[in-house]
Amino acid sequence: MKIVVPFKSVADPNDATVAGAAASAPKSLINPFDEIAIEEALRIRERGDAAEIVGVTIGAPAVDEQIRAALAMGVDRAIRIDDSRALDPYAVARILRALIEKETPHVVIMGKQAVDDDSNQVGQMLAALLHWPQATFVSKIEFLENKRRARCTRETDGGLEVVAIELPAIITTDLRLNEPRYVSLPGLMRARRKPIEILTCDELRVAVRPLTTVLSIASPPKRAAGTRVDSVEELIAKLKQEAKVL
Amino acid sequence: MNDATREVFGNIAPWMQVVFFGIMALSIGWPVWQVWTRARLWRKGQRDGFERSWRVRIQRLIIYALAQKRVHRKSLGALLHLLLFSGFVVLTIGTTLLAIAHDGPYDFHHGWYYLIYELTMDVFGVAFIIGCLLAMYRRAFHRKPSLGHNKSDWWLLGLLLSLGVTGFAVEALRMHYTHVQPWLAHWSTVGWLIDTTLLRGLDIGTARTLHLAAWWLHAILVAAFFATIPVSRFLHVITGPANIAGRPERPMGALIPLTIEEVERTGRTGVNTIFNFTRQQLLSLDACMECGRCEDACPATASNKPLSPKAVVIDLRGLMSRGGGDVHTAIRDETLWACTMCQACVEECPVLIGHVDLISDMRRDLIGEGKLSGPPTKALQQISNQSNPYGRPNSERLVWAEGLDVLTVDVNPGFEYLLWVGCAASFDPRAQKVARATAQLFKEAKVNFAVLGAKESCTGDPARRIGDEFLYQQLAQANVETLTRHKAKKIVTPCPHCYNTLKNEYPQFGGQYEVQHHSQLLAQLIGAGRLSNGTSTGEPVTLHDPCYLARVNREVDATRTVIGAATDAQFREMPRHGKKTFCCGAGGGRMWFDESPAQRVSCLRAQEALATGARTLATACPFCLNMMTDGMAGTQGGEKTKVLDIAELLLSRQNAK
Repeated sequence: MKIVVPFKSVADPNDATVAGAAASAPKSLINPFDEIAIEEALRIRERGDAAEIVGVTIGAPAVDEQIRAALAMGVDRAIRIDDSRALDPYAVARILRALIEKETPHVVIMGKQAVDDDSNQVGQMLAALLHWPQATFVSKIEFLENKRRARCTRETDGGLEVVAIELPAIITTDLRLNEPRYVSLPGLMRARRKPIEILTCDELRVAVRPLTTVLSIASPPKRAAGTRVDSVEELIAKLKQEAKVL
Repeated sequence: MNDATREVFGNIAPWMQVVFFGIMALSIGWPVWQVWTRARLWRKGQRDGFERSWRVRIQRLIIYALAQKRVHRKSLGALLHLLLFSGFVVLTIGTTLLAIAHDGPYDFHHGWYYLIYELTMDVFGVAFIIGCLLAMYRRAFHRKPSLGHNKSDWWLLGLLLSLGVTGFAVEALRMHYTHVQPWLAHWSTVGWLIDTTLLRGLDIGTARTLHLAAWWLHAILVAAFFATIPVSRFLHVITGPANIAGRPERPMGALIPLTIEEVERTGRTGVNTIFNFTRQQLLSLDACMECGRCEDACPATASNKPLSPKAVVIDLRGLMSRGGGDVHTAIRDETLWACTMCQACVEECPVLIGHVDLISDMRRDLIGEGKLSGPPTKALQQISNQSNPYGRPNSERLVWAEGLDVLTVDVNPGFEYLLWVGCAASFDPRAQKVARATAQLFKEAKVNFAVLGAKESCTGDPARRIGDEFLYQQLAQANVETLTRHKAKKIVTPCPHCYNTLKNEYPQFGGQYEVQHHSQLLAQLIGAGRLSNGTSTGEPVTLHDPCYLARVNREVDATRTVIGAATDAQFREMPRHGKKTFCCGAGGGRMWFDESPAQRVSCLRAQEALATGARTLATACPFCLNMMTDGMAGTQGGEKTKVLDIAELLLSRQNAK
């Protein structure tokens, strides 16, 4: 079985403020949900259900650092689609469709959303474009019937939903699927020997233009400092009069 | 007087003597061969490249092997070992001297020398027998669970006991049939007592026959004893001193650096197969006789985690005996992660085994192979990206000092002391108060100090101890550069982990500073009269010694001085204090691991503190502070106990005036 894992390089959420004004140049990371997707692919391979894991990302050469991290985690080979434009989810989904048609994997595992824009659309759009089944927000994956189908447990608002999907399919990962492994410098060094293939949209024969444009980004208002109360009575009084919640 | 002596081999026919020497040669040759075979295994290990001085080796042998410094304590085990050890050493030396006198060019075995020789041999022979009996009694009735034990131990002790008993039987029978003069006989006290009581009236012929039988039995037992040395616990009589002499001399708190060239050359980080350990480490595995002291001291064992330092050593030794292989087949990952690196086991081990180094080496391999996941990986990523394990932007490093007018090195470049705040006291809301108290006290004592502010980063201690050596090295190099740039000479820090790393590990990367823990500088300021003493009395106080201050860096007085200056309240020691302190559970990167409440070391420690009757628990480490606050909160009766850093305690004294 072959698994393709698309991943996105995002600014470290610890580092950057929402408005993008970090104190120093923000560090980049693999989107944490995508990291979970990579980890899941590795675990599937480790239990003998997959032969090859291909990591895919879109971006300028700067994202090679995150590609190396993915390779160090254990991805077999990586493809970077060289494109430094700010792409909207539909554009990303179309580029990925072209690549997936070329790579013909049995399953695509990716994060349910990226922590920078929180769009949560690419997986769904990709499934639609490919006419593949999808299981989103997945916290458990099992393969059935000699890997012809997958049984996925989805984390929904109401609880856990278990779905069976025909392969090939798109699976997007929830936080609780696994805890990704740690990559250290020696791991990164060893990953230098693994190949990174560079492709362009032209080579994939996709022309993309954004359908959505970001107009503005604003930080949430700063929380006002709390006050310390001396007694339960005072607390109740304040809750009634000031907060008006009682 | 000068004719005082005795016969040697008097009852033994010459052909028998030949047989005897043949058996002796075999019984010494076999263990030598066996030990040589083990030594060939040790030599499969790596060279560690440490220089070893003979002066240090001999010093250590005197302290730890001959004087048995680590064995002594008030326990039956220590007493019986002293008896067995002294008996064994004296009897072995005595027998060797006899052989030299008998077979050497000059026979000195007579006169006063002979008399004292006989008396000494008898005294230590008795000590040896009592030691055996006590050992048997202890194994039968008072065997602590951590003591290694199997059925063959009874045979071994039986062998030692029969050696002692037959020795005296031979002496008594020889005295009987040679009609020793009473003035001479008294010096061989035990033989004389047996002769005059049990052997009274025995005819000479029977005595000779019995002597021959007892002599042969004794000889065969001696041979059997030699033969069992390499295949039993007795091996430690050879490997123990060898390890004591061979262990490299370096600070307890400094792990050994790894180079990237080494990693590129070998393709691995740390220890993956048993022979990746150093030769001395492999030898140390064979030095263990399973006394269990490490296990008794281990906080992981005490809190039901899957780690016993003794078992780590035994399991690795088993792997080596099987010819080697992947260490992770012998030691589970959870075992390695359970270690708090508090060094309690290392402090206890009578033969100086370095359990923590073994564990650290294997952790490095787990990190290199990507076998760590979960919360600690987040801490490591945040150390890597934000230079602190809390994941906070470095620009917030001075939030703790709001309103205190603490100067940075840029504003006050002429500082005398650099206050290295540490990540915990910079970002952890509880520990920030320790930083504030420390800074306020320094100001009160008019200390000229400055902080690095946003230029400070994690020392790398948690990364290094979790096993990410290269993340540690990146931070160490960057910090050494920063410290050099700002001409820091004297550094003071409220964090014992920062203190240890700055003091003991940064010299490996060219950083040489005069590093003090805040307790040390505060004690110094108190001594110089720059901080006044408090006179208030109150509820009793106890102190939780931080491992990396008290045990690893041997500082046990400064903290007590500060507490003494802070309050006149009664100070009560916990049973485990000073260098024998018990970890809070946060060391070795464990601060960043998930821990079930049932396995919290801090709860055990909180109970110990409560049992002293103290209502204030002082400590001197932000991580201990954090863990002990949790521990107290989670312990019956602990809710009302205040957990304070010594600086907070000292500051509160002055504010109360």
